[in-house]
Amino acid sequence: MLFSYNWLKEYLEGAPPARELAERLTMTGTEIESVVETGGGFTNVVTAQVVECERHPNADKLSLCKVRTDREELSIVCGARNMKPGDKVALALPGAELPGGFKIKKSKIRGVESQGMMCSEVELGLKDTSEGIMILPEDAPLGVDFRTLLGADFMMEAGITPNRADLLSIRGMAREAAAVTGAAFKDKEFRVEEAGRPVGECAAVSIEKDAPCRRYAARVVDGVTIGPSPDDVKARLEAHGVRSINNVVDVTNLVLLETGQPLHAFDLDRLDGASVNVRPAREGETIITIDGKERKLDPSMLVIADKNGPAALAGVMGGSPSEVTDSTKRVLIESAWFEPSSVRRTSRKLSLSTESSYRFERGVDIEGVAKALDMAASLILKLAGGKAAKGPIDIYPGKAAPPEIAFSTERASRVLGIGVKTEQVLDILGRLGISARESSPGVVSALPPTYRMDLTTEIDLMEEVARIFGYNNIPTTLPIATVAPGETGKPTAFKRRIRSLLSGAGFTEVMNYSFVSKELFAMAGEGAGVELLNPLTEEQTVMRADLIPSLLENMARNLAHKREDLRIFELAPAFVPGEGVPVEKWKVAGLLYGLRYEPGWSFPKDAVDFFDTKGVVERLLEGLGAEGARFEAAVHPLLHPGKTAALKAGGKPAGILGELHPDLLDRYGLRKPAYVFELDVEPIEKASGKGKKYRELPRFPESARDIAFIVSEGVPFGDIMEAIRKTDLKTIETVELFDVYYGRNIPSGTRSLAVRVTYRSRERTLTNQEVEETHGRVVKTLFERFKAEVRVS
Amino acid sequence: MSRRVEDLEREALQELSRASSERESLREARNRYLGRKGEVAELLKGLGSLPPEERKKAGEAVNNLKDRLEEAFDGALSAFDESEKRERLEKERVDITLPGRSIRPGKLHPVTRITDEIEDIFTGLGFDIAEGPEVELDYYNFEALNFPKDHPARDMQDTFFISDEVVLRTHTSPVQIRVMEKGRPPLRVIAPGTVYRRDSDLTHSPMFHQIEGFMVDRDISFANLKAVLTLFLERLFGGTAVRFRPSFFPFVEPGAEVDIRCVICGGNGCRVCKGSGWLEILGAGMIHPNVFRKVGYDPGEYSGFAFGLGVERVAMLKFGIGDLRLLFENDMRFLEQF
Ligand SMILES: [Zn+2]
Repeated sequence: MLFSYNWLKEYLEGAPPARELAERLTMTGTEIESVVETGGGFTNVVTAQVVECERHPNADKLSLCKVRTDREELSIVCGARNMKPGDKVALALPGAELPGGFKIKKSKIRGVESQGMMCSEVELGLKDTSEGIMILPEDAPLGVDFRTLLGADFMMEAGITPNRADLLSIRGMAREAAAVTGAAFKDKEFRVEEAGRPVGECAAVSIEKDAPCRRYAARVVDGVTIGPSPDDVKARLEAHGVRSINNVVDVTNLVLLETGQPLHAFDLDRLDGASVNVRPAREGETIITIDGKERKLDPSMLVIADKNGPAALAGVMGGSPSEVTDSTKRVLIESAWFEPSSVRRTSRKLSLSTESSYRFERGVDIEGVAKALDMAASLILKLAGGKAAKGPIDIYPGKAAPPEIAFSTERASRVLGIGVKTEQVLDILGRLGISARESSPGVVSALPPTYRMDLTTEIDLMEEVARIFGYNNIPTTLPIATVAPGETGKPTAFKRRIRSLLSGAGFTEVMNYSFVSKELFAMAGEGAGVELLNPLTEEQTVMRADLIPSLLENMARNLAHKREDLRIFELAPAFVPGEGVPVEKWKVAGLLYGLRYEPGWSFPKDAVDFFDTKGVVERLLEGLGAEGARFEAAVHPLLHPGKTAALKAGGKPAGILGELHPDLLDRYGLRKPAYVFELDVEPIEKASGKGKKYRELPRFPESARDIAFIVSEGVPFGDIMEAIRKTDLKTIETVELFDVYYGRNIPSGTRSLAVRVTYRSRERTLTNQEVEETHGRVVKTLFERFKAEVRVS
Repeated sequence: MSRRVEDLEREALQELSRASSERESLREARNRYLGRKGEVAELLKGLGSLPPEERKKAGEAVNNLKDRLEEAFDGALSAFDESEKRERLEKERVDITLPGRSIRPGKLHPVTRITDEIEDIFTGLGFDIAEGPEVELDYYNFEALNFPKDHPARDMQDTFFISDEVVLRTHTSPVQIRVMEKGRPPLRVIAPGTVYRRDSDLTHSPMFHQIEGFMVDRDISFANLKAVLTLFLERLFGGTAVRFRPSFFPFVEPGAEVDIRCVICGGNGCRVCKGSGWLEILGAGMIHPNVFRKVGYDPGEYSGFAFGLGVERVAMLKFGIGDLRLLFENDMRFLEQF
């Protein structure tokens, strides 16, 4: 909320300077986000009068003037010629600071001392151009800070939290300022001169039973002359971001800003039957609001209706047919209290938020309704003339009765960690306008004022005590902690390991938005997605179910600035529709593109391929301790059908990896293939559950045998390897593939593989004969199972 | 005898200086004089023919000669080795200014780095780490945290909706409720995670990261909150000044905003701190009794504090990143700096 310091001061006696006040408000919970000085970006400039002017003894173009303030006479060297004895001027004294950081000090100019400077409007930052120095009106007082003469003010921007509706006005802010600074709050009084007929003869008001309106007050002013407001009213409204309309409407806005009570002025002659009824809208009713829009209403919305139908949306906006216009003669001024939740619902349904609805939603002071009405009526009489009808209408069936709150100093001491004393509590609550008394030793009974709707329980009062006492006066005391076991950190630790293993493998971590465009979502060919009801942009409408498309976008972005070699990964949840709440599955995805090793003088310039990708996944699984992982040939919409592997961990599907589908390579304009993987964290974490166990070092020697054989290309090596191992699980320690060869001397449709089998027993040294015997069975298996033609064994 | 010793020495040393340019001749010369059948050995053999009274003295002289020659020849030989080695090593010289060769590790995202750093500080203080879903029920995101339906406090957090009852969480605070529902005090937990708000401009990202923390036990006070958060901020920012201001969040009371002395200007006022000399860094407060009631804790028995901070903001301050959007553009030129 924006407010003027000068306006605030109308309610204060002994207010501290603006910036000091801002600091104090901030430190007691009303954050002042900015303080802007208006009309005077300078200091130490006072009004003065020219006594005499002579030519400077040593310079033809300069004058030497005697200038007096209220207390002294100074001699000033000046380059301008437009002043004469008797003129009032703005004089910058030594120590003054002018806009642009220009500082004034005593100095010798051509051998004569100058004790200040007479300023031009440009020098004061008041205009862009000026001729000569500024000559002030003849009646300007002497020795006055020139800023006050200019009407200098400070506009403060306050961040008001939703609980402090009482601060959404000048008066409320002044009350708070008084409470937190010790300045005195002096309220304004308004008396309405009631020269007209009794109000009952002019208008009638009724509230339908159970309508969410607890008070409705109104006054009638007859014979107003609608016209523009005086300049000072216009200026004040405009400084607070409100456009001036006409004198009557401006008064309602001025009162709203000053008291926080939203008002509405109806043209009484345009209310059918000269009466209003506060009631829910009927099904099918409509209203044209003063912004010219027609709005459909429903019974959840409260309206002010005349005989003809809705005339205003209660607490939100008036209707166009009954608004005050240039021809208006009689006005009905409304000051009411509508239920916050009702106003909020209406405002949200119609997407219509106003200064009025903003305040009603947060809660206005029901006890301030009549006072604001009187203020408005008396100001209308002043600005628009006319006669006020006798007496207000004031329908207020149930008076507000805030609850009395018991406050225990002992409990407060425990919560705040300081020794809270009864006198202190009474003093602080008193300053805040809360009537408080000690009801029994250590217990204070407190009755908050009606404008503090946020104070309903003991904890609310504890906060009040703490904030006025000052948070920074509360000591810091480390807690005495009870030791308790906890193991909630496991998932986080696992994710950390994934990140550290992948970054160790050269992958840089990226972070993408969880929501993507429908197009990007559809790329991975999934079914329905989790969609946002109210997306910000089309690029962010569906929660992604796959991470790979985001990585492709990242790749495109980096390629665009010639970053050709990439290893990136992302660890994030993917979202799929579930029963009620969508299901979140954490995934880790990676992308490889370009050279296998970083480009440089000493590495081969090979491009990455499928097996680099698989290798990364294999090392990741190994690093995570995942057991029983298997890869199977698979298909996936994003991937090359012949270069795709599906991962299974612990028998469960756990992700895919492979070469990007050639269609996608084209789409992204890639010259080289790109490789990706996307793994599910949960099954991998489950497969990694077992802790590491030490296995005794081998005590007996190994014996290795190599086999080279030609076998059909269609036989997966994984099957061959498994068959070899199973030949003798006890003595075959490892099976390593060390060569794959296609081409010369190898029949087409086949390939040559070379494998080293290492034999070792954990119980004894194997004899040569035993090794030969097992190896023979391996060779036989290869021949029998896979039709392999063994060339060397 | 002594003359022979002298002659032999002179002769041997002359030969040494002649042979010193070539290792082989040096070795041959050494052999000739000091070998098993060399001149010196011959000399020793000849000692037997001397009268016993001379034998001892002559023996000493020959042995001294042997020592001296050995020293001279070995010295020359090893000097030879040294210079040869020097030559060889000189040839093996590499250009050490060429870049080193290694597989370069990737970089972790600055948000991850800061999250890790904060987690480490709190786990060091005995806090556990918890997680919660990013798509949340209205109940956990608002209702249980004392944001009633139709309350303006909900406007503090612009919300993305999946349905009427399902939202993208606007803060990590729902994890408080989930952890308290499952466990019993004492609790000391932090919950890092991704959160979403329907807001996007220079200083707001629709997706960002928070770290929530809370501590619940008997007799936890506001003074405890101040101590733990001051300690945390001092560790995170290296001994900075900290101040606490009253503020409002529905799920805490008394509520506080915690500022640190501006790390950019040191408190003199700058653009980043909007001239105030302070930077808002944490929201905090004592857990509201209504929140305890929602999870079935007796607010008369337990008290606690909670706090939350934005990870991006800390990352930007600590790394001096001026533009929030950089964090989600995934430009390698940016990411590889961390
Ligand atoms: Zn600063």
